[in-house]
Amino acid sequence: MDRNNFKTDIDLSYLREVVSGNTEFMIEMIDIFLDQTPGFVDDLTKAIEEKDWPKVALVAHKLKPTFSFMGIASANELMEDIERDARDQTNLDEVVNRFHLMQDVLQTIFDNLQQKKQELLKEG
Amino acid sequence: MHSVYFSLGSNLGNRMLNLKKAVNLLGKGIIQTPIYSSVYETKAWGNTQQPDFLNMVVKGVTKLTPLQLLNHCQEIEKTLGRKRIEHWGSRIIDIDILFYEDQVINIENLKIPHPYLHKRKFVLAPLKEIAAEFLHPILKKTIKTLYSTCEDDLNVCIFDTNQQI
Repeated sequence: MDRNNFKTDIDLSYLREVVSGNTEFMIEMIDIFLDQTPGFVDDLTKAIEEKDWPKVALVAHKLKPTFSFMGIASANELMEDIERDARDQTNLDEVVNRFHLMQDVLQTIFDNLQQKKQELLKEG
Repeated sequence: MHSVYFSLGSNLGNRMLNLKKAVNLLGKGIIQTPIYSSVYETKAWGNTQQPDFLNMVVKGVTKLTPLQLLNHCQEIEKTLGRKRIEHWGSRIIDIDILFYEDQVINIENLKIPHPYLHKRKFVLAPLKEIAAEFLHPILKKTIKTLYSTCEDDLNVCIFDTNQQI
């Protein structure tokens, strides 16, 4: 996966189903995501710099479900690959490349989520 | 190994036998160390003209991926002769994956946690028996709490205690 085929689209349909269309709750989930993700990314940056691969796997594991229920399939896939290879300590160059890719796309994901949030606020 | 929870339901033919056969097939190479809830009887969901359902939850550990599990569940449904007569309709056996570890899987054919599990008492009642403290990875509430706040008013009760699995 590279920057060109990384999809930063957000698909909230699963989350909407789980919370029975409760837009207030969905907005809360988005806010938690926007609030917590930068901290996790800082942890991941530090772990990558320190080549602390078990920590890299752990943080990627924590990031994975939130990307998943926000319907950001590419980011979820990326976290899965980072987690697996960091845990097995294989393809470590790729782990670092994937992490850089995530850094590249994260702002777009945040912007798209902010937009979704605005749409939900209008619905609510 | 990964821990996994399934919901099983049947409301056609010999319902208890259908559940037993499905549990038996799950135990053959799909999951290990299974734990079974009691079997519950429930009015059919979404269509109250249907025969009553028997429902249960099974926990196990597996080496399989979620998609492999989905394929196996569909194979079991096919083997036992699932008949999808109508949406929300009668079926010989219905198997859903409720949880796979604490993972959230959101792909086209597979959503885990099952998106409606917390709205259905026939899932939550048996699940509470074997996983009361399990935390729903999106809603961040335990099964016990989800059960006590569930607004589903269908009558769910333990089936004949002499006929349990």
